[in-house]
Amino acid sequence: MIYCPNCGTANRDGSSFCNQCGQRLGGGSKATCPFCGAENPIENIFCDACGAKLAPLVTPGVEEKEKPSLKGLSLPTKPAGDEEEVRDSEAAVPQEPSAPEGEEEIPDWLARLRASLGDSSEPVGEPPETEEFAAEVPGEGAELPEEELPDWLQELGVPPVGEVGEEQLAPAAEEFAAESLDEGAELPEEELPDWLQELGVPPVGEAGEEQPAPAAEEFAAEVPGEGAELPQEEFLAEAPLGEPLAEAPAEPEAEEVAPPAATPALAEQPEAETPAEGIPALSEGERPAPEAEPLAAWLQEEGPVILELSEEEMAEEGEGAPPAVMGPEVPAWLETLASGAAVLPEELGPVLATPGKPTPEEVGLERAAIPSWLEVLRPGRKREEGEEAPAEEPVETEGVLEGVRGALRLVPDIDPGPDQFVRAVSAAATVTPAHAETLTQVLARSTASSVRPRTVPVPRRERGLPWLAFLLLLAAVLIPLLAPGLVPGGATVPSALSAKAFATQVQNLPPGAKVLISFDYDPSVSTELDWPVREVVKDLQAKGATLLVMSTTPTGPGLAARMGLADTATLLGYLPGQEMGLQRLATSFSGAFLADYKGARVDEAALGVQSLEDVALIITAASSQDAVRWWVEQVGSRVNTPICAIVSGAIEPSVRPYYSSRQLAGLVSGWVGGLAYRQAVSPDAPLEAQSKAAIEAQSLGHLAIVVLIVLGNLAYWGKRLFGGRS
Amino acid sequence: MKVKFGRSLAIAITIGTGLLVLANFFVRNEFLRRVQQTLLDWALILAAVALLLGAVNVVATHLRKIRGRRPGWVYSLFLLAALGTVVLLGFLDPRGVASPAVSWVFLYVHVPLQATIFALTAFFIASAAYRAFRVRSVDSFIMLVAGIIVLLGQVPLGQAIWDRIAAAKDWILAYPSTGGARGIILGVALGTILTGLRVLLGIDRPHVK
Repeated sequence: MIYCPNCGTANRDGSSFCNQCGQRLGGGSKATCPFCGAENPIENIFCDACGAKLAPLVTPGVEEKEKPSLKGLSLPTKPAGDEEEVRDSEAAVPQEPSAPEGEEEIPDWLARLRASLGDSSEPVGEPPETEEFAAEVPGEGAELPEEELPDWLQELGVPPVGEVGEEQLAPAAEEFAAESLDEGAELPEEELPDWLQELGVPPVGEAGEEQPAPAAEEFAAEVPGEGAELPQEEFLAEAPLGEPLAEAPAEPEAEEVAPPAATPALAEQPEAETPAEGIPALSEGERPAPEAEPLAAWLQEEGPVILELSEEEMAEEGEGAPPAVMGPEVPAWLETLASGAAVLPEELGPVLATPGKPTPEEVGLERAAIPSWLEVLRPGRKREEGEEAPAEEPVETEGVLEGVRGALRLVPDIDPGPDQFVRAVSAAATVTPAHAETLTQVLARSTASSVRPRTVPVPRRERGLPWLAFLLLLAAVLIPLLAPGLVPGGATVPSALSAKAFATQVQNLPPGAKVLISFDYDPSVSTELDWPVREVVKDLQAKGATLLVMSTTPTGPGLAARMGLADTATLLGYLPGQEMGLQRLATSFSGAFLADYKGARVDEAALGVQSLEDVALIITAASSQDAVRWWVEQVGSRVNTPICAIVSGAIEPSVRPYYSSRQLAGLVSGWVGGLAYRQAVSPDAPLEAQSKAAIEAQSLGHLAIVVLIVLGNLAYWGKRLFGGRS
Repeated sequence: MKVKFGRSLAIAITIGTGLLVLANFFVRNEFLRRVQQTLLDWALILAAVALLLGAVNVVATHLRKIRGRRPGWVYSLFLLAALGTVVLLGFLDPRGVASPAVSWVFLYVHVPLQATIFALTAFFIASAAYRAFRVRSVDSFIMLVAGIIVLLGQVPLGQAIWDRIAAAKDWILAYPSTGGARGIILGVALGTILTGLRVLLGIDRPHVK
């Protein structure tokens, strides 16, 4: 459901406009909390920030507080479309209100009203004379200018009150009652509200003529606010629009503002000896006078106007239809109830009508709940000054407000209705304990995990495996050192096209060409990459190239420094930012390095390099695929300078695609690749002893791993074929 | 409202910055180049500061470990002592990291230790090879054969065993291996493009969370 931020009406999901007032609904609308000002989704019933109920508090009551209105006065009127009858019934309106007691000042709104009526000579603040006051109060004989009428009254087309004659009211009411309360007529079942049909409400005729009283009881129980039982002071204090009234003396206003009248249905309440639930049983003496029983303030605010009759006039009506006239804004079911045409359950009628009978609950009936839309419209009761906050309000436990109860109340001044409160609590009651219990269980568990990593026992036949691996690798290292040339094919270096391409790039460099070398590997693979890098650097130095050495890793400059390049190269140092740094370098060489590895200022003019286009060759020695990718993506896509890579054997498969796509001009992989490069540059040069030992050790190491693979498969298949006897 | 405005501002700055840097890839414009260069300089400064923050975090973490006498706190003590020593050596010499003392520590402590740790992986690989390459299916058999060919084709010993093994190794690396690696690289590239677009369009906002 989507609740209208204007009138609070519940609309179906997906509605774009309110069915009641036409207010635009949907995503763009926000419901502003009247308490904390937070904006909430339009679907919210309660504020996300403070929990205050949104729907009833953003209803017209909020706006209407700002403009004094005549609501709260009981003006005789009639349903729309029946103006003539109301005009004729003017005579029935009592014309003599009681004079105000005491000498209290009149409220501001009344003074303004008087001023608007032209009686500016009367000093504001002085209590008016009884006759003058009676003449000035709208509805009490004075003709109210049309512009002073409330909007809702003007919409109803109600004529000025002064036109309504006293003598005409009673017949009009009788006539209206005859129309609206046709006691003999049987209400079609399909016209009954659903909730009434569920109650099995019989037609009115079956209820008998004695049943208007139970109808009143039922109506009083159904209407939120139980206006009949509200004392006069509470009524005045409760009415949101009646703040001026609340400031004024209650008793005079009660007599002056509310003329002797009663809700028609309520007027018959004294006849019901067994009150409905929520209505205290009052004796005839205790029961307030009918003229002092207004409807609940919130219901009066909604605009329906009650035709009120004196007790004597009611008596004249006898058992006739109570002259209830409800405004068109009252829902149909309320109108039906108020007019006395309400049908009562067959079981309920005698129960309520006869004293001493059991209550509806006792006969197994469930009282119908107030419709949600009506409950939403019901404003909370304004808490009296000094009234203690409910016990549910939490006590602040920390901060400057520690120990203070209700300092940051959920609902500052409004005491939500019982149903609203129960709803909020029940929602929490079902969810919160479950969460709390779960949390308690989690916290109660031991911090030591009960699930420990499962240790797979090594089979007995494999317990010697680590020793076997160690021995094989030890042999692979020692044999080349102790018996060089023993390994078959030790002196033969596998050819590598990528290494040849690398060598070609180096050989084609012009004398004095500038070459940028980036040490992008870490010390862990230094034993694998140091040698090929050194071989390349040696050739570049032989070509007289100007070497610019940098690194994208923090340890790179240290590895470069130990190559003995300090005298023949410019150590630019570490370039932070990884690929961002390379992008910066590709954008402009200028400013990328402010100081070199030794802290000296980098003189770009002396280097003769303004951009990477001025460099003849870029070489990256990398131990990670990412470093090569950064160079290809960030630099290779921007400059035309060829890029070559010296990488560890572990990442060669990942990097080779860049060589295949010619994004890398040459590729040297590990020690073996270095040998291939060496062989490509100097085919006739004999291999050094260290290089021979290294390549033989590598050959034996690879062979040891192959042997272990074969042994593992033999053990596995032997177990499968011979049932584990191997 | 302030939070929402701040988020919107952050997103707007992100999108604007990203578009400016991206535009420089497609348009040769001196203004765009300067803007990009400035932004990248800021990024490099932030990256350097992040490195410093990482060092501070390491110190804080190990200090907590030492104070709490947690298991292995002695190692933390050595770590902090080594860190402090190197930093002190670097500050005492105006040449900084290029000073002989720092270079000595790096060359004769850091590099050998890290290389040794990495060399130990050879033993783990050897042990794992015993179990990992068992032929349980046709697929595992194919992988076993390819692995052996590449292992032996990398070294002269393999050529001594079979003279065509180097060519076979090159074929495996040039076609099946390169094809698979290229597929992974293309997938990463597409994912990078998609991630970049989502950030530029404000769909993903990891920077404002």
